[in-house]
Amino acid sequence: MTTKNLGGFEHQVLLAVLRLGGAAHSAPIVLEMEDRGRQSVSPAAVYIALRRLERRGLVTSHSRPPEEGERGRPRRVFAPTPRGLRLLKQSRETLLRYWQGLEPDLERS
Amino acid sequence: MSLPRWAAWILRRTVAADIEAEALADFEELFRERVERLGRARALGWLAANVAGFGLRVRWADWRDGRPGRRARLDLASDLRAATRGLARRPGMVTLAVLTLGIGIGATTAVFSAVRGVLLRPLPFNDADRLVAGRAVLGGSEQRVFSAPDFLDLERESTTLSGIATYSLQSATFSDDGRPTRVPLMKVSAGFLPLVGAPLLRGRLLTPEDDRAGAPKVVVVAEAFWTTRLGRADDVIGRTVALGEVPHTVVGVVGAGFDFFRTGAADPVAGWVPNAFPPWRLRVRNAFSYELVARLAEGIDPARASAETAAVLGRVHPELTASWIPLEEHLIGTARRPLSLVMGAVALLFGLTLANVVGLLHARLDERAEELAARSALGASRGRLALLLGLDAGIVTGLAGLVGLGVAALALRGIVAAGRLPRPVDVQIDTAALLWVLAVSGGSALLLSLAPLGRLGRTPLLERSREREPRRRDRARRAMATLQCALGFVVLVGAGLLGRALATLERADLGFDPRDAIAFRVSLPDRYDAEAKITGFFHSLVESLAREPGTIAAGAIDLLPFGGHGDVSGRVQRDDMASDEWIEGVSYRVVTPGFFGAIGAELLRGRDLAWTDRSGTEPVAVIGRLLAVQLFGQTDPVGRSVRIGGGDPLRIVGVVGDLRGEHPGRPAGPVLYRAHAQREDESVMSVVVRRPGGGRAAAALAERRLAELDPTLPADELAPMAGLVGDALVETRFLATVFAVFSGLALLVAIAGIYGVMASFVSSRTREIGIRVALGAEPRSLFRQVLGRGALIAAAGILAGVVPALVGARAIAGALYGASPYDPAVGLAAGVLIGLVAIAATAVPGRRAARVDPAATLRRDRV
Repeated sequence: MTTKNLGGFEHQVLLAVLRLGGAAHSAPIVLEMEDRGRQSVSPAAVYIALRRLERRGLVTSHSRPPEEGERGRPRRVFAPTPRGLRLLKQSRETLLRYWQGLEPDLERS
Repeated sequence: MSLPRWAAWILRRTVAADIEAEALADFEELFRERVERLGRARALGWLAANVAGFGLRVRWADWRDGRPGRRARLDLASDLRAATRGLARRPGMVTLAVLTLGIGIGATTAVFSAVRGVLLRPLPFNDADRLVAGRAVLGGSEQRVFSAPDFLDLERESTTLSGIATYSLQSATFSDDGRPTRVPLMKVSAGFLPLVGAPLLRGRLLTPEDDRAGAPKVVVVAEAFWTTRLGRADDVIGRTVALGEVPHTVVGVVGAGFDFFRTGAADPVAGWVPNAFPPWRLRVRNAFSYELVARLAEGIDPARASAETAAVLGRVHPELTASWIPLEEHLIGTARRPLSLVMGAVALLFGLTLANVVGLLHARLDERAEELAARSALGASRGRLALLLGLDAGIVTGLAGLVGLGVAALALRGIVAAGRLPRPVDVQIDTAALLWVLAVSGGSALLLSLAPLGRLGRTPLLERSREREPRRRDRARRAMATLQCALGFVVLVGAGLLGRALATLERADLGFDPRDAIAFRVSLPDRYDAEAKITGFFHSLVESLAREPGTIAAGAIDLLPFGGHGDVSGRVQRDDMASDEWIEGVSYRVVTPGFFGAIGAELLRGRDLAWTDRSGTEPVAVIGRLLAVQLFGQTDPVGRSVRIGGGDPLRIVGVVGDLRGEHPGRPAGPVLYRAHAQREDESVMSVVVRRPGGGRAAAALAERRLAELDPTLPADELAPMAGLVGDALVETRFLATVFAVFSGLALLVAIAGIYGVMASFVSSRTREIGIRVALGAEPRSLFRQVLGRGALIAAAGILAGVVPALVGARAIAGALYGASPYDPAVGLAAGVLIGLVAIAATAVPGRRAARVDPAATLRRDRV
């Protein structure tokens, strides 16, 4: 596991966190990813990705007390670190570089 | 809406504790969303699919990401750094361990390579185990040569052999490429090359037609000769090369890798030419000059073939007992003994070095005891501790392996140079030897790391770290040091015996004086075809060298003492003996006047041969002292006559002292010298020149005079006589050198062992010693006590080594050439040396004991 690159799935997880306002716990991330990705997403995969991202210092997490209607369970809220954001941007640029000039070809096929 | 109970139950059982609450909350939230969106049934399906594997998947991913790989590697690197730092704090101990072990590994590897090359690798011939070589015992001495009629009889009559051939090594001048040199040629019977399975590269092998007297001269050349001297020319078959100035037609090329009977530093054989026995060879039964090689018929063992051969030859030689021995033994025989002796010594040495290094690393465990105890208390598993310990051993053996490889390369070069091994081509550090080094290093690393581990298990580590008097370990190490002294003693005795034997042999009375004499061989080509030309040539050469100012004497002989094989012997009869009474096994030599003076032999009675003893005058002979006694007892033989075989009588004109000619340790046999000018066909003679200082000036003079007479002739094997004699001692000198080196190593190892034991003895008893000093003990007496303990170890070691030393001495008895293997002086010297070494090794710890400061010790003790 290098710290230089972001895996495809981890990339999506980070984007989902950002879409959820830059901080979210796991369940909304799963839902957001299913919504955007138009396919079901395994909670286990999201858990694993978040823990991996945290170990690599790309997201941080903190416990937040239960909100209204959450039946007294604490939630773990994840947020990207500046390093995570930087890596996300790099990842995007890399993908865009790969895409440069390819759209017309794919359109035709 | 909450999660179904079964789902919560599964999650609680499978999910790691730190995420359990979080996971339950998340699943609840997701389940609710799905029930709202998809309905309860499909939500339950989703739940079943995702809850089941959730906990295990997350755990698995955590484990794979975090635990073993990356972290373990980091640990290993830091452990390695720690181990290196730890070892670097004890440079003396590490150097000692690396050097002793490295030398042990190197010596083992070198000897293994040599033994493998010479003894283990099969000979490069077809069915080598069915090939046998002929031996004969005649007049009590063993010989390897037979006569041409013997060979023909066996070839015709033998049923136990499927093939038989002769060979004899010769040499010829080859100068076609502008560099006249003598190249070794083998004269063989036509069946020789197919018999030993020589691989034909081009052309054909020799045929029976080539092997007839008067047949056109042909040669089959070796691939090496074809490449280096004939330019690997494609049109080599049919080409004519001049060998000894006789044109030979090249009819075939035999492939590389086939180099029959190459010995020592000799050049590889250039080619094979047919015997083409001249008619006189076919008539003379006693002209033994051909070695025999044969292939056993299917299902026949050497004993059966020997019995048949002895019967066939017994009819014509009642006094000769012929037998067949495996070719391998014939070729390797003389090298087997030194190599197996060295192998034995090396095994001892290696065991010793290994034991020593184990002891040294053992000592290091003491220092690390507290560190290990702390690690163990913090939860390090035994496997991890084993790894830590193994690293120490691994670093030491790794370094030692490197040292060992260097040592092996040097030692092997030494063995090949000093040992005159029969198959030098095969002896090199090859990949197998390299693997051997690695296996040995790896094996010792394992052994070394196992040794401290054994102790690790026995008592809890924390207790061990507090342990101050590890008496049991002390005992074990004392036993080890005793063993080292014992082995050191054994090797020392071996070295002493061999050294003494060598000194005796070097001083042995050879019957001549090799100092100040040089010798070289001259082989006249066939254009010297008349007797007068041959004798005239040698007369001129010897006279011109003898007349040179400063020369004491010069002369020539057909076979120089220590000049190699090729002895011609037969039976001799006194003039008044009955026709069936003979002295057997008498060597016939041919000499020119001046030879005895040149070699420094003593003329006991009568006169030397003279230039006037030539063909047409009365045939004369000079005999050796032993033959004189055998034939004439105490009466004066001068003026009497003897008969060789059934020939004409020879008048004895003188008696000379016997010359040892094979080995300085072997007494000379009976010998009879005839005048060169009265023999017709001796065109190959060795010339000896005695000039004060001998050496290069004499050699240059000899070459100059030879060139003046015939510029085309090389002076072969031009060398000081002392060198030839020295070569004969090569086995003893080789063994003595190897054992001397080994005993030096063994002493080094014993020093390290005793030092280790005594140093730990003193340091573990510092407190006791301090108290005794405080109570008034003399530092001097403490010093003496420590020395005494060291001496006790040495004495026990010597006692334990006596019986093995006697056994070892018996094993090397054969290499001592008559010197007694049970030499009390050598044993005494070895014992004294071990004792001195023990005292030297104990002196440093002894001084430390004498200098213990009681105040400091007791203060430290209170803390």
